[in-house]
Amino acid sequence: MTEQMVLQVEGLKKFFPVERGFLRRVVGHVRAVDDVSLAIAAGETLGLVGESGSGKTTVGRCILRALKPTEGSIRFTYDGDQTVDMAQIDGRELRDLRRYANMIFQDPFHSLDPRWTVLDIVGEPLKLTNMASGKALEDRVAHLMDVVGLEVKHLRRYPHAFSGGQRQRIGVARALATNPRLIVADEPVSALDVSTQAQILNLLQDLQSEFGLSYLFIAHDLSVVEHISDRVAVMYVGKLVEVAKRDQLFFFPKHPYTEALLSAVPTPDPDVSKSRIILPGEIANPADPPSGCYFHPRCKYAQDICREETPLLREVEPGQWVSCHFADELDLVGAPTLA
Amino acid sequence: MRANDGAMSGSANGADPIIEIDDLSVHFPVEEGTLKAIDGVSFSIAERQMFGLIGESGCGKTVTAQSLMRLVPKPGQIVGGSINFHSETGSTVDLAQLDMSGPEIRAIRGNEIAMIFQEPMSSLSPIHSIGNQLMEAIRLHVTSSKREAYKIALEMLNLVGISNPAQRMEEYPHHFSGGMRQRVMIAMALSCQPRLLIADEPTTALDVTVQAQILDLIAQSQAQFKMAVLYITHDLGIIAEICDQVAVMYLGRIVEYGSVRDIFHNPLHPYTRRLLASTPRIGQRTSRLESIEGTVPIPVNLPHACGFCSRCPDLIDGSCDIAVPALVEIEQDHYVRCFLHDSRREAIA
Repeated sequence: MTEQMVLQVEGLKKFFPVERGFLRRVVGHVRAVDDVSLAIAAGETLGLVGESGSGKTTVGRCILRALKPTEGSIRFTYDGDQTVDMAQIDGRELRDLRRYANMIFQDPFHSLDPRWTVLDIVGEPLKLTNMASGKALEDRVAHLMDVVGLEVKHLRRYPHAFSGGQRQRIGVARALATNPRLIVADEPVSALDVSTQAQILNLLQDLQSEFGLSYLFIAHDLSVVEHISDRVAVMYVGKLVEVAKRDQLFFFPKHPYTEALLSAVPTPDPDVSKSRIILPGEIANPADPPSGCYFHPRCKYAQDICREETPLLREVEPGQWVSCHFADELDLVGAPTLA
Repeated sequence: MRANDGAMSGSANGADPIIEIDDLSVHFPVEEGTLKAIDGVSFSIAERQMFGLIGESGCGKTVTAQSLMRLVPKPGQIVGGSINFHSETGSTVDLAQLDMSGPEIRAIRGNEIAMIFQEPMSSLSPIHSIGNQLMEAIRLHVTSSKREAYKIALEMLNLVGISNPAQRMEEYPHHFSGGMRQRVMIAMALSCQPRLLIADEPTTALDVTVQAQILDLIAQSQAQFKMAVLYITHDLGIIAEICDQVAVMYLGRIVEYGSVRDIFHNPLHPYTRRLLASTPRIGQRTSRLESIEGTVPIPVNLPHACGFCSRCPDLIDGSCDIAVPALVEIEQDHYVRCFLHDSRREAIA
C-alpha cells in the first residue's frame, strides 16, 4: 500500500477470564476479540459495524490502550514517521502517546462530569499532556469551542446547560484538544435524534478534512456507517467476517452475515420492496462459540465444511477481504441502489 | 372552529375507526409554568390499520400512547379533548373521561388495548418467573382457571417463536436476551387478544437483525389477530416498511398526517422534509446530510406560534411567529399544519 498508514493492527486478541467460585478459578475465557487485523490510512474513516456483543467496542478500547490486549500488535504512526507498537508499551511511554489518539464516546449524558465546566472538560487532556496551561489553555479551549460550533461565551458553563447534540460537540472538542492523528468514535451519534445526528456527522466530516484526521467509526447503524466511511469492517463474535471498500461492501457483499445485516436495515422509502432475510436465533456466545464458522448456525448457505472448519479472512476481490468458505461462489444481494 | 373538524377519520381504506382522538391535550405543571406535552392532537386509527406515529425525543409521542392507556404519570393530566374508543360490543367510551384506576378503564387496558414498551427488562419483574408473569396477565383478563392460563401461556410463547416454552416459563427475565424479552412482552400483550396494540419503540434497544425478527412478528400477529397497531418510533425506515398511515409529531402537535406514500414521496411540512433529508439511507450516496439547525425547545411557556418557527428555514415573518397554523387537508387525506400551504389559523384555546 502506498498510502501512509496511521494504524496497523495485526492479530489482535482480547480474552476476558470467566471466574467462578470462592477462589475465583478461571473456568474459561470470553473471546471478545479473536484475531482481528485492520489498518487505517491517514485521513481515512474505517467503519466498524457489528451487533452488541460482537467485540467492536473492545477493539476500539484495545487500540487506545484503555485495555491491554491479550495478543497481537497495534502499530501506530505519529509525528510523521515515528512508529510504535501500542500493545507493547506501558506507563509513562503510553501516557506520552495518548495525545495522538483520542476517543469520542456514545452517551453525551454520562461521558461528561456534571461538576466540571466545559473549560475543565476540554482542557483536561491538555493539562495531562502538559501541552498548555493558564491563559494558553483557556485560549486553546475557546478556539476548540469555536471549531466545533459552540459559543465561546459558554466556556464556564456546566454540561447540564447543554442539549444532547451540544454535549456531543463538547465530547468532540475534548477529543480534538491535543491535535490527535486518530480518533476512535464509539457510537458517537446513536444517542442523538436524527436531526442532531446529521449535525454531528457533518461536523466530524468537516473536522476530518480540516485536520486530516483518521477515524475508527464504531457503530451498529449501517446507514450512518455507510454515510461516513471510506472502508467498512464487519465483526461477528469477535472476528472480522468482511472488510472492504464502502461501495464493495454495501453493493456487492461477499459474506452471508453482511448480506443479512444489509437486508435487515429498514429503508425509509415505502416503494423500495426488498426481501428481508430474517436470521434465525441470536448472536453466538463468545464464551462458548459454535464450531467451525461462528455464523454457520444462522447461515442459510451453510454446508458441512462450515460446521467443521473455521474460514480464514482472505482477499476475494482486490481490497475485499472475506472469511467465508463460499465467498467466491455465493451470489449475494447488496443494498438497494437509491438515487 | 377547527379546520379539520371530524374530517380525520381513518376511513381512507374504508374500515371503521377503532379509536378517535380529538383535540387531546396533556399538560404537566412544572416549576416554571405548564409543560404542554401534547397540545391539541387529533388522529384516528381504523380497524386492522398499522398506524405510525413518528417524532424526535420530547415531541410527545410517548405521552400520547400513555394517555390512550390512561397511564400518564402524575402530575401530568389530560386537560382537554376526547379519546373515543369503539369497543367490541359496539358501544363507544370516551377514555379521557374515565377514572384512571376505575373498573371501566381496567376492563379495557391490557384487554382491548395492550401495549409493548421500548425496554422490556423494565416492564418485567426480575423476581417472578416468565410463566408466572404471563399467567398473571392471562388470569386477570381472560380466564380464572390456572390450568387454562398455563395452556394459553404455552400457546402464546410458541406463537411468538420461543422454543421449548414449557422450560422457558420456569426461567426468569435475566435468562432471556433483549429480543427474547420483547417476544415475551408481545406474548403477554397478545394473550388477551387486544383489538389495538400500542407499540412504543419496541425495537429501539435491539440489534438490527433482532429488530427485523420483531418487526416481522408484529406484522404477522397483526394479520393473525386482526388488530390495529399504533406504532411509535423515531425511525423513518420502520415507518416506511410496516405502516399504512403516519402522523408526524413535533413539539406536542401533529404537523403532518397522511398515507405513508404521501409523507415519504410528497412531504409538505418543512419539518417532515428536513427530517427526511437528515436521515442517511442505506444505498444512497450523499456527500453531506441536511441538518436541522438548533434544537427542539422545551414546551414550557412557549409563545402562541408554530412550534417549528424557531428552526424553520421557510419561516414567514409576521405569520408563523404570531399564530399557530391549523391542520388542514391539503390533498385528499393528506393534512398539513403550515402557513406555507394554508393561511388558516388554529383558534386560541
